[in-house]
Amino acid sequence: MSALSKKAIEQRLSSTDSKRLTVSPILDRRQIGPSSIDLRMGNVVMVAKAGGQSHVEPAVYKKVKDHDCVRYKQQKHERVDIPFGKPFLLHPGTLALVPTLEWVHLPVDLQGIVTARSSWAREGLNIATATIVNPDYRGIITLELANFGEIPIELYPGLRLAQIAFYVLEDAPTEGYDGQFKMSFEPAAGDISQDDDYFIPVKENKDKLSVCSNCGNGFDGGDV
Amino acid sequence: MRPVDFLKNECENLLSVLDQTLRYDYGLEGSREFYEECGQRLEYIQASLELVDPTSTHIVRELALNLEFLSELVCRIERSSLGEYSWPFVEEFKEISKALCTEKRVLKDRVVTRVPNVHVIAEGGLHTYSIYSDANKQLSKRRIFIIEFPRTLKHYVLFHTILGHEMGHAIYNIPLIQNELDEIFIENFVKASPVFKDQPTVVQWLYSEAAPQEVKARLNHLKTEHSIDHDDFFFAHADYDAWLQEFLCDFIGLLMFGPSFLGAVCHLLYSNDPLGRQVNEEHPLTGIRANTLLLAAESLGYTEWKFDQSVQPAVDAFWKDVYEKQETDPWFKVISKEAVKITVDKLQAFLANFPKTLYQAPDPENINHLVHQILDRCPPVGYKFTSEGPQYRQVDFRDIIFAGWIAQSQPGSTIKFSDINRLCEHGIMQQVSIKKMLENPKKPEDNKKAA
Repeated sequence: MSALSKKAIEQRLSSTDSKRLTVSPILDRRQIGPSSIDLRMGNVVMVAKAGGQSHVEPAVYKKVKDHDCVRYKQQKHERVDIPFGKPFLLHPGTLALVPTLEWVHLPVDLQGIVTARSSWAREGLNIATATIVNPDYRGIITLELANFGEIPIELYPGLRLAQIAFYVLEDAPTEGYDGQFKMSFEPAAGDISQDDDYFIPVKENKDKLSVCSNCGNGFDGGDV
Repeated sequence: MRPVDFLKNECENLLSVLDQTLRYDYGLEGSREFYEECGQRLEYIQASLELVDPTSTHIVRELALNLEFLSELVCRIERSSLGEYSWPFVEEFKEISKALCTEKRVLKDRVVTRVPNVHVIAEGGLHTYSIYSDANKQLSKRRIFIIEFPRTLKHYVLFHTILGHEMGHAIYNIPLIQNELDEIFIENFVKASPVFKDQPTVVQWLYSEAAPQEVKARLNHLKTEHSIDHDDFFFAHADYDAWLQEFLCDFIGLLMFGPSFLGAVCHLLYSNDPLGRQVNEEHPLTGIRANTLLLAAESLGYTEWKFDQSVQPAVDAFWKDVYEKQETDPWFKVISKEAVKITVDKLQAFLANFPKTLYQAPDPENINHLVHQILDRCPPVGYKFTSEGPQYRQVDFRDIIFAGWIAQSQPGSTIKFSDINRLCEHGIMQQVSIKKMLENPKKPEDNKKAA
């Protein structure tokens, strides 16, 4: 597996065959670095809500149309739309999912690795994990932002927060990506229990699902 | 798309919105009962739509009404906030609204400009496109416009062009504009129409022997159930002025959004009136509206626009789809082509006084680029990366929407209508960022240096 250089990235971007890489739009050619492309913040922020639930519960992902499970998933994040020119304040310790402004499509022989730009990382802004973007993925890239500093960080849509580097796969697959985030338009919580059902015990009693092991209360004391 | 397919699609949208009502707790009672009851009703409608014969128009209509009512129920408990409607579209539409509705008043020695206050909300229902404008603005200095979107069609920017028609209603409430519009419309369209020139001739035509069976049945129903006959049709049932205003607003919508408006009208109006022959209190028959709009589109030359040969078959398919909605029964042919042409030309000249309001003939090269981006499942924007580096273009958001309508007509394409809408919505948002960059005077120089 080898990384693409700036020249190779530009060749891929301007290519018209199946090896074409799409990152649209690149608003400034200086976004293309020696071996990566800077990515800008998009207009949606999904902020993990404190107090919504007592804990992260993989079991809820197994039940698709159950009231409590849907409610659990829907209440995990507060969705905020931020037009250009308006700020979003990321408080210390907060986790927020934001989309990139750019739409990305990788050919089947490329893998992308997303990391924070070091200038932002030095301010305490962290992209929680180095996200792997699979070959043939198409859509926005979700950035998992966390403020590790001690003071809030003001963010504006359009700011360059992250960067993506590209690696050529050895023995590239012939079939494309078919994961749960294919053709993503905005961030969404993933299914953390997907294909791991056999490790998660069945919890038929809804009350058990919703009761906090520490205090014994339901999530909201309401209609649980 | 057949009406039954549209309704199936709408069921999926409503299910998604129903899930989202659980983001918050509403009231002390909790949400379980509401959620489960609505879910069961939706399942029933979905199952019925799977079984129904698509040509059984009365059953399809019944299901559409049930779905509409359910949608209203669901959306009433939803919040109307920035997240509930398509803000990229709204931001662009607000620009047009402000250009069109800004009022200038001469006060003694100075001119006062009053920009309207535009707000946006989302509501339930399949066709909840409307603009409330306060006709009486005695209490305030600035007029307030509230633009209302159907919540479930949040991302369906291709349908949002219907708001061009609603903008017509909104500006009709501005006295100075109303005078101008009346002068153009009544003189050139109403008085020239052999049927719509006055109420008695409309009634005579409606109750004529040649009227379609559906119209006769409805009029007979009005007579037997509500004692409304031809003598008091416009007194006790329908509103003649409202009917006329619908034609006027259709013309304004067409001039504002071009062929995309026609695409949206043909899909939305026929979704709850599959034959286009319903006799409605405030709207003339859908069939006549579609015919009139087609005459207007022809007179504006829309149907003659030529594009790249890789796109032209899709454009032809788009028009074929629209022409299929044309009402061919001779009873419906009561609008003269000449009257439509004169009226539309004069309205076009009047609206040209307001910047950004008119939809201009698109650059074929732009449309070609945008359509191919959509078919490639990439948001359509004025950007491409060539061996020379990134290239940018200013693109009108209405071109993006028109490209969406063309792409959805592309023969053999498998891309879903919902995905086309979301790609176009995303493209409109991205185009705003390109516009910001291009309007920054330093940026092109910087880019050049970088190259």
